[in-house]
Amino acid sequence: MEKLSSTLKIAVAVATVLLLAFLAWSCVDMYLAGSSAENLTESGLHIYPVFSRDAVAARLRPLLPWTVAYIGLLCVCTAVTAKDKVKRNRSSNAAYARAGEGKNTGLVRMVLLAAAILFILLGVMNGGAGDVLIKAKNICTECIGLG
Amino acid sequence: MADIIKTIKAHLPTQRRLIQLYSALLYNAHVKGFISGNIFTGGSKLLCVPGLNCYSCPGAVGACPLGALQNALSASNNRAPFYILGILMLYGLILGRTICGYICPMGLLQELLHKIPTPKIKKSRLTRWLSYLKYVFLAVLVIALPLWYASQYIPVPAFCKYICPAGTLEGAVGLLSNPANTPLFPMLGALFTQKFVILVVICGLCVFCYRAFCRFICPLGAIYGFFARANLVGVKVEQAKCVDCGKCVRDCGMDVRHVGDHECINCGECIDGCPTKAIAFKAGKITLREHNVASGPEEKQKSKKISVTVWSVAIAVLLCALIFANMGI
Repeated sequence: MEKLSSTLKIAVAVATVLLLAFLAWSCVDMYLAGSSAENLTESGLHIYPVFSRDAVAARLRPLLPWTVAYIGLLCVCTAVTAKDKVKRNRSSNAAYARAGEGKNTGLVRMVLLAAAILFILLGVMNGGAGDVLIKAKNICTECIGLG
Repeated sequence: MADIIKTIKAHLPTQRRLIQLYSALLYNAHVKGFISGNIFTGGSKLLCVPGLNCYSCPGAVGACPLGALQNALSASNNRAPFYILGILMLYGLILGRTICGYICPMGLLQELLHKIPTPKIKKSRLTRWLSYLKYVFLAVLVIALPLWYASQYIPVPAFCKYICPAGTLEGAVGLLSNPANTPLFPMLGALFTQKFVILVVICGLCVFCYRAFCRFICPLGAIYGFFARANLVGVKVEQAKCVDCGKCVRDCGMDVRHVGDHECINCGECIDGCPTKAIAFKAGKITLREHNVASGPEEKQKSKKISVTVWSVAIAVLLCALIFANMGI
């Protein structure tokens, strides 16, 4: 049973790596194809977009049956390994278990709390809070990869 | 049959998992956004959520503290970033890295990915060294680069722009998966490709290595780690009972040197394993959770009442957030 369990785990590991590698490769391949000289006009503009909904869907469609198979393999592996004892992530690093509050921890907390409240008030007064709101209300194009 | 029931019971979500799911839903209460493809623009975005949650996610009802910090530093030639620094100090002081362990959606995602049954990479001296990498990301991508570009009046939230997987997953995938945002597709290019590959690599790492993003990359965890000795809520060791056996450190999934240090996410998994019951989850002097001690029926009843009350309040807050975010009240 243990041998079956470890074989299934290795199979899931390989399947996970292959699935993720395919996703990454698909994205890179689409970008390279879209950025190739064949897709550029003389002035450097793209003839067709590098990424489009249809192109992405066409790339992901063949992945669907493999994803279903992966989920099936995951379910089987989970069922088989469910009873396995949880192996603790034991390390041989030196362990320093003791940690405690210093004598001045209370004072440090009070000072930090006072500073935090003061900073927040100063931030509201100087318009910093408003900046946070303005930025958060609009789509952050850098965050989502649009540049 | 009893065996199956026992196995199912052993795999029911823990209190911590329920809190993680709750907070992920609370941060992304604008469920309407996933249907319409628009982000929330309400006043609650003035507040930063404690964990890493991209404000470009269609469901996000609060701002991302890391994104807000980078944007504030990018604009620091105009005004000092007091507001976001104050917010981070407040969260760090009250909760510290308990945020990572309990109320960060990225932490939840990493733990769920780690549940995929594969051989795992154990922690070692190398992972301990790698855990300092997040301070490099903090110093360079979150602080130095935005400040340097700010001096040239160019806003560059470098970590958000080049690395952040939360932005790619919640923002990009969240927005682009909606047909209403099809016009955004032609704008995707090299940057999106880079970020998507980074997201895929991080997800893959998290499958094999416990909380790889949290341990090695997340600058927000690095910031909260500075408050490790001062934060109010978290796992505390009772000095008188501790015998320095080191079991808590050996069994911990994070690269801790001792319980409660800057790597500790205060998840509390070490509490039940302590042979001398020296570890407890505390909020100041109040003990919230300690070693599974045998308690009388009255204690259990009291504990159940407190749990029911707290969860009732929490669900009421969540319902209010859902109504506020989706009905524009």
